[in-house]
Amino acid sequence: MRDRVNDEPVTNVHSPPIPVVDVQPGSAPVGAPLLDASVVETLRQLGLLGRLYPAFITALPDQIARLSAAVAADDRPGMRMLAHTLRGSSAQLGATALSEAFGVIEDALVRDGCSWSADPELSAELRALVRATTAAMAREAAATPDR
Amino acid sequence: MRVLVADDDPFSAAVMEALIRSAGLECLLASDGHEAWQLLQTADAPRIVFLDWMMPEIDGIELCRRIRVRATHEYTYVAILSSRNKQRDITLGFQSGADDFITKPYQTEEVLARLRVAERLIRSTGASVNLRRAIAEARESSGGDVIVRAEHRVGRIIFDRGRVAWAHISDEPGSLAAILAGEGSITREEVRAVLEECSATGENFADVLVAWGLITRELLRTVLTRWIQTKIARIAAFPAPVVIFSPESRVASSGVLLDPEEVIAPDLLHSAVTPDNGPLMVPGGATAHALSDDLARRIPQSLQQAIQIEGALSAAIFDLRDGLCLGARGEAVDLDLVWSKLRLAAMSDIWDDLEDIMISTRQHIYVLRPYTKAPPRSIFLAIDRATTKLGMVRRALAECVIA
Repeated sequence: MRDRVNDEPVTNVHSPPIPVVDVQPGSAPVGAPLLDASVVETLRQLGLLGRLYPAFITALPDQIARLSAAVAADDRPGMRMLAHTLRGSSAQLGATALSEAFGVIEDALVRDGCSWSADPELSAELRALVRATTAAMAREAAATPDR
Repeated sequence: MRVLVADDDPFSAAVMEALIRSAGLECLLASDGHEAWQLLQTADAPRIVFLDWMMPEIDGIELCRRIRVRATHEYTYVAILSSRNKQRDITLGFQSGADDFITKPYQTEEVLARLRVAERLIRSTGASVNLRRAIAEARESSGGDVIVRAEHRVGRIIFDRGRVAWAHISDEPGSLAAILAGEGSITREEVRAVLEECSATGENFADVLVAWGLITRELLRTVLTRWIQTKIARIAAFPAPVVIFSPESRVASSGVLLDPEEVIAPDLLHSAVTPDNGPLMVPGGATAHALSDDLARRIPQSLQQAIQIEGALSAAIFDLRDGLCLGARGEAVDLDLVWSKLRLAAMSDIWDDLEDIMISTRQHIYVLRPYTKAPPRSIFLAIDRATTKLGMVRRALAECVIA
């Protein structure tokens, strides 16, 4: 995953605390595109891209903060619901790598007996992925005139 | 037609809403299961419902189960939306009573195609199928009433020698005075006198009205056409009706008989009956696989056997490899509906253990069963729910297959 992420700074995205979950080695997504070109095109054709991408970029920090809070409170149903929603909305917006990353988190929450521990490396990876994805979305949104 | 989308993810909901609107349908949004359930309690609740699996308050699976146990509502088409795409998830979705399962991210063409299936299914569960059938029977008869009942309301379309003589709704005004009220020159007293004359002489009111110079025959015909047209349109819109044709021998009192085409919407006059041996092409159909002589002989026999099952409306056999219809009997087969079920049946790990797939609506039961296991072919049967017993139908259909 790290090879695919362009760790450039994004000024309009906060750096929220990233939830950490102990996932199995190798279970993190590798090689998935930041943005699925076909989904981007569909959103553009539906006239949604210029509206949904900025909204997602704005909403994502709060969503991740809520996920982190749920992790801190060991609120398993809350964690799972949030991870699931983030997985779904990311996928729907073509953010394939991000969706898969949230999918790894959701699947870990679903798995019986999953253990929780601080994993700075994964946390950093997810944070970098969020930055890269939102930057790509910002570029697409900027290139798409409002309809 | 309106579609309810219940999804707590505003981004997925926005995409689905845009797709539904692009199909020319109205879209209502609910952000959780509770809000969706409230909307489904209303009198004009949407009959196509897309439910996200995981959402707060009530999840989509539970909501689907609740929808299915309601006895007092019209059939609601339910599709489960989910980013889960494992086989067991899809199966669980269908087991909850869903008609379809749509995975995220949504594919435009796929969602639009599924919306068309939903629309078609909802239309087929409404009044139109039975009403079409009753009207077709009435047109062939010497006379009688098409009676449409929805709870306490009763509509009647009165036929005389294949033509429409009158239409009436039990709780709406239908007197001659009410009909002619818009024609300012005719008073209630004159109408009363006309009716007394008809009663005394046995003449019909059209002849008397014209003979007395109260209205021209052309204008009377125009007024009656407009009146009957409106009544029939309102009768056709009755929710969840019971429809029968009752042969009657009566003398129409109006003296004006209208051609069905003048007063009945074209879609209600279209005959759904197409007795045929096929073959028909279904979506996805491309290449016909060669049939052995034995199979070519067996298929017509099986179809004949299937269509003779009590209550059977149509029977068809499909090749799942290319979607080709190998033959059909009875009424026209809803190809979109069949194809959506074939797609489910064609999933490899279901097919091997599949006994049958059923979908029930208020008026119909559709049963799909493997006809040959390998290569995969399937037999499809549409049954009138009112006249059949499901266990008997399943056993009888099992005797029609080769698998």
